[in-house]
Amino acid sequence: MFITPQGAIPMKIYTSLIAFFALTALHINPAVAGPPVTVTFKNLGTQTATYTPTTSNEFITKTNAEPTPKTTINANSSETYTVQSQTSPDYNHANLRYKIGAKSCVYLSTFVTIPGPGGSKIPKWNNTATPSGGATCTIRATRTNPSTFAWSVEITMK
Amino acid sequence: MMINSTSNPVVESGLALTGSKAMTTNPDGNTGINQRTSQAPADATRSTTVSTMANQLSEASLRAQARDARLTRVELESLARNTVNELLSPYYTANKLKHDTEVPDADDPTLLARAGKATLYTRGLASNPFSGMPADQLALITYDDSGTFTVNERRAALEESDKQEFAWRQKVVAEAEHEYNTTGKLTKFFQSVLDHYKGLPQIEQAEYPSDYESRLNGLIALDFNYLTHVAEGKKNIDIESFILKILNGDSNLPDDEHSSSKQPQPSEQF
Repeated sequence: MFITPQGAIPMKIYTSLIAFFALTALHINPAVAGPPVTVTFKNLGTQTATYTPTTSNEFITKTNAEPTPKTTINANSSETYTVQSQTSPDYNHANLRYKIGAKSCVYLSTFVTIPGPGGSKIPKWNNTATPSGGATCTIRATRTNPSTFAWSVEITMK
Repeated sequence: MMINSTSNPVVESGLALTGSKAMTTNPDGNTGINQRTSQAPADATRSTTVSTMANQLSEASLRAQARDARLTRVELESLARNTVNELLSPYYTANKLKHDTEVPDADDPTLLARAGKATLYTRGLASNPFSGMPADQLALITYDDSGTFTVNERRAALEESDKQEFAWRQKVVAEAEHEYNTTGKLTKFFQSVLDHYKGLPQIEQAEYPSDYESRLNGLIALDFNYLTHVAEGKKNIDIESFILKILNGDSNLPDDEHSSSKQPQPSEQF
């Protein structure tokens, strides 16, 4: 017998209640993540590019990337990895910074869903590339899956 | 093949010459093992070439083992970063003339020829002399600063390693996309990434986050379905199974009648 302020609960019922809540807890999102984005970086320059995360969002991207992005990418070489945020099934971002000497490119690719009619979700992707120091930076979506919302981007620098 | 402090990949992969086996080269100049035959004196030169290479790699492997045993992971990461900077940064370009005139400290014409080919490669005038070489052997060359290999040879080895790494990454991220779009999971992808990581030489593993292996193991164990938001991992299934047994009354927990007739055991107390 287990005594509660509301009265006595038989041990077996009490155990079952604990088990029920534990089972429920197991199914309440032990992990959530948005759709993954596949990033392909192309160094179109004549010198080595370096991957240099600086802001917190950029470091979060590095943590969420598999395999971990390589630090150096030789001239005319490429690199690829996937990024998947662990915050919400309706959100993901890849925020990346590459440098070639004094040139710098900051890339941001985001995914969000907004509420649509009948409880549906409308996916929105957005891609930006911000150059500095005389760099030329491009970003373009190469694939989007309308069902799973997984997508791919190609980013270049020179 | 993974390099660690107790193995010699060169010996394990057959690069060291033993018995009647001899090393031969494929058309790309890479190593393989064939049974020695009594014909072709010309093959003797080729075998000597590869034997020299095998000896160099074997010695480099011993140096790598000693280095890996001596340095911490942080120190290895620093060494790896410095090596890559030395071989790929503007510092390399600034010293290009010096690197291009570097010759191995040896009289062996095969070593001189290989170093010469590496220099031509770095100038875009020849193919990579290490094209197709196994990744663990490329790492032996890249990170060996003993002077056995020229800077241009080490750069050529690093570039071939990067080329192979990119080819693997292309393949594995394509598989990840397919797995996600067809199953909602990335578990096989995480396993592939973990397997690849475990196969890297220690000095290359050091370039990854220190918790990389445990993080991947956690993701694999979770076996999460990102579309249904359900973890289907074995751990969770085991816990679920246990809890369901309780809910179904299959447990050996005492009921009230039994509880009242005996002293409660510690495990029965909540």
